[in-house]
Amino acid sequence: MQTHSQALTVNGLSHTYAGQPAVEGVSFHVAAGEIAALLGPSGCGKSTVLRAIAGLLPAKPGVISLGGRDISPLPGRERGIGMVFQNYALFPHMTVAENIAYPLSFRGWDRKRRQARVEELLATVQLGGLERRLPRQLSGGQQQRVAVARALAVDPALLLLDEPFAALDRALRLDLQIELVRLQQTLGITTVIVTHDQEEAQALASQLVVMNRGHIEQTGTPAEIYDHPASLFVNSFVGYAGKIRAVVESASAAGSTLKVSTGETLRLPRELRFAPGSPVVLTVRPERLSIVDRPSDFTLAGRLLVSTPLGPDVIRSIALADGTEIKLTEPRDLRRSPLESSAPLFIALDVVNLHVFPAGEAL
Amino acid sequence: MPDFKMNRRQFGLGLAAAGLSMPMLSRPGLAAGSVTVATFPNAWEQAYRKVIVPMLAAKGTTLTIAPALTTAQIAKVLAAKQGSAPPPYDALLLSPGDIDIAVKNDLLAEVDPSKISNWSKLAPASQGKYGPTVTLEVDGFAYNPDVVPKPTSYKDLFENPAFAGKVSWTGFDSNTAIEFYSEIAKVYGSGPYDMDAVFKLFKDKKDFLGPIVDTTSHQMTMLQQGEIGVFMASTNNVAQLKALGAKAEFTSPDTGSPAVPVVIVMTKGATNPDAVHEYMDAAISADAQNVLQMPPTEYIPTNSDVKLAPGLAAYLTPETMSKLVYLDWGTVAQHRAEWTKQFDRVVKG
Amino acid sequence: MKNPAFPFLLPMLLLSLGGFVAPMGVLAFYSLSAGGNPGLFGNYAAFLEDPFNLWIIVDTVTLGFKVVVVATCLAVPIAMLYWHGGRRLRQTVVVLALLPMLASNIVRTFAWIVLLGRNGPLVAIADALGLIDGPRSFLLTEGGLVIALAQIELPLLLLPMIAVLSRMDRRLVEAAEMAGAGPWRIMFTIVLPLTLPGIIAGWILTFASAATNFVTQAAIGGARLIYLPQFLYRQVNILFDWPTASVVAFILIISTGSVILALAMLTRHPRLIGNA
Ligand SMILES: Nc1ncnc2c1ncn2[C@@H]1O[C@H](COP(=O)(O)OP(=O)(O)O)[C@@H](O)[C@H]1O
Ligand SMILES: [Mg+2]
Repeated sequence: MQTHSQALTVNGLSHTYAGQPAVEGVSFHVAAGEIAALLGPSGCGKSTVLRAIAGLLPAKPGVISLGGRDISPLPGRERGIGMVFQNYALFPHMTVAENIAYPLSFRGWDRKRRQARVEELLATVQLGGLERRLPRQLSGGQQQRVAVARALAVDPALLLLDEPFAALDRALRLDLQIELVRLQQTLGITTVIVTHDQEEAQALASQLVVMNRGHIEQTGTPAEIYDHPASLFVNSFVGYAGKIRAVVESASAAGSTLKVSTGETLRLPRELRFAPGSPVVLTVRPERLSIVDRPSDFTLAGRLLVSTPLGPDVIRSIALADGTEIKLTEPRDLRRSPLESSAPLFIALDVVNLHVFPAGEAL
Repeated sequence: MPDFKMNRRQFGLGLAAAGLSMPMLSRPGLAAGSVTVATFPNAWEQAYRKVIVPMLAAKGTTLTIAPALTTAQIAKVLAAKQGSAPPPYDALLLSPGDIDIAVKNDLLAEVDPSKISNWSKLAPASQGKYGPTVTLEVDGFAYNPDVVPKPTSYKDLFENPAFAGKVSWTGFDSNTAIEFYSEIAKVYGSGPYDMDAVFKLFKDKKDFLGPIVDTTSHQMTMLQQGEIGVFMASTNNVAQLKALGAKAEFTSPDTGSPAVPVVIVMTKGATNPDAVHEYMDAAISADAQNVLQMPPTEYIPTNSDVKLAPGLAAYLTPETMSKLVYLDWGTVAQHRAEWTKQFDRVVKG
Repeated sequence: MKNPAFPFLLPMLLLSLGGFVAPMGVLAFYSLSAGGNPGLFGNYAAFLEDPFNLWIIVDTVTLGFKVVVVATCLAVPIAMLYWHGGRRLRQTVVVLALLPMLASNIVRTFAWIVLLGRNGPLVAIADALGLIDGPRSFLLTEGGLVIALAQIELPLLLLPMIAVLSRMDRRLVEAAEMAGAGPWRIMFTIVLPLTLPGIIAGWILTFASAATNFVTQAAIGGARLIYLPQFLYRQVNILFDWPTASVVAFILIISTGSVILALAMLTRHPRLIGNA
């Protein structure tokens, strides 16, 4: 039923609440028919950006264009955007059908046409039979679907969702996430979803816009952002990363040497763009670490603190010689005898892929 | 007056309930040499606090003044009696109509004149069985000379076009109103209790009737506002209006001014009868009445030693004083409920 | 009595039992048994047989309704001003709504005597607009009484509305806006319906207060407009006819109480539950 997906461009968007800047210089692009996720910790300005796109806040300065057309001067009700609010904002005094039909009542459609559209939407979000219920008689998941149906009612060119899964319990979340992606793909509607949950963002979006303190840290596909984080913040916010402090001893094209906070020395087979003596932070993804028997140039000594099985994997917390804690995951091997707690061991680092950031950077 | 022959137990039960919800009924136990009396609120209450309280204090008696409208005074004493509680007041301030109701309900005790040294200074008419008359309310037409000419008779009010719609009346709730209706009944009907004549007049002369309200105080406000030209008032009402700077004058009807004695009476079961007698004696003393007849109160004295002050003499010409009209309140009480009912139906808007 | 809070409720229960339920019970018993009328409901029958008295009941309830209607017409724009206002304006509206409550009912009533009178501003305005021919007075008219009562009872309607509005989720309005609704549509389809529980609570208070406001009814309405409270006052204090008085008291409670109950039932409507 959706034909006119349009690309969204946000350019130089800033907003201040009573003199307090909330977002500054936000620019990103979402291609037609794509899902982008605005990802960042609570309070970083995601909702503010979303509301500015919706037209509920003025974008001053800033330009928001949809399908190449500047929509910034338009009020929200004329932008042709569907929005799912945090906690859904369903009208509590209206039934499911009335909630969904509400946007249709401004289109001059006759009763029959409205009814047909409501039925179509109810089928789309799989809520057939619940049209006479009031919102408070629905489960959280059902409420979310009503909100989605209401947002889609008038065939918007853009769908905005603000933390649509935050109020749901974990088990339900995954199902609804899959359902939303399927729906979006069927409709091909350009979608922006706000979330503070990086797993959710990665699961849903083809493009992530990672925000921190009112500005964008990095935009890219989930894989790009996971594998090539542009900042220590992104590295730690998107997926888990262990952090190890070190000082650069030497850095040349032939390789670099780092003096780790444990006193051990680590050799990286690549050039680091740091002057010798610079304090740095190494970040290590748990799945890129392995436990080995003997030390080498790229291992650190450690001691096992605790092992936690998680499905097919086991997560091991390990303390380095100076007490720094890092996590490591490896497949759970039932044949191998379990590691003893507090057993000394060596951690092999993936020296090719680990990231080095300046230590001054705020986390 | 409706019949009060309900059985005692039922009534007692009702009043016990009233007692529960009316903490006002009980009062703190008082030391010997103290007395609690009811007076009219505001002007009267303030004047008695200033004049009578010190006189009794000089004799070692504590006088507590509780302001209450006459009807409320009776209602509370009646309620206390039916609830077998001591009366909330030792003495009341009543007019003959109210005294009649109080006597019927056996609420009052006779006084002992030998305990009141000023008793002999009162005219015989003021020496009541239940207490002395402390002042007279003399009533007449209060009018605003800017709005209407000076009214002289009741016929004026109902026939002279200058008064059409300008004269305000009250219902049978008000004792003052009843005095005047009785006078009108004499003029237009067969005698002082021929209220049918009054009701007929009210129906026939609808255009002459001005606002009909519940109380004299509403009429005072309306006269002040230029809303009405005439209402039936006491000399005190007019004095009060003048003190407020309102354009108001007092005049007596040609048939004479209705007058109502104001009497201090002792309740049956009063805790300290001697103190009540002292209070009565002080209220009729020349010392007290000399002060009370001066503005702002201007209460007409009843003690024969007191010479009428110039302020009062302006209203109370010897001719007025010689033509005062008194009403038999016993007869009024018998018909009051009936008249009230009929009046409502006549005036209902 | 399994409720663990029972010991804490006890003082309140005893107080309302002793101070309210018991006296009411005795009053009810009294209205049935005292006086000279035969039969259990003799007193009631004697009162209700008279069409004049029936009209007093009707007039009293009607007065309450009229005041509710006029007060609502005044309260809705003020509440919307509050809703759309910033912090400053909101505070101002709340203060102005509360201000009249600081003056006693008697003071407000006498202010209305001046406002409604022959020389008052309302007559001048109505005259200038050609609504009335020649100066007259709105005092002692039902219209004047309704206007005065509506203003006097206005805070009772306004404050519950403001209480609901101040808690209302602004996202609902934004959702309506995104759906394409203009400001008036939003007001009539979202804001006012969601304020309804507050409006109904206000209606209950306003109705109860207006129908029983003895002082204002007497002072502005005068003796030609007779309502149950004036009638009751007279039976108690002037005529000392307490059996009839207790009947009138009960009829007043029953007639206003049933309206209040009906309004209270409205708030049980499924669409209104839980959105205030
Ligand atoms: N209406 C508002 N008035 C003032 N400050 C606000 C308002 N809304 C949000 N803020 C502030 O702006 C910042 C960004 O808020 P928001 O966009 O809601 O963050 P997020 O959605 O990422 O949690 C926060 O610091 C928040 O406190
Ligand atoms: Mg948010």
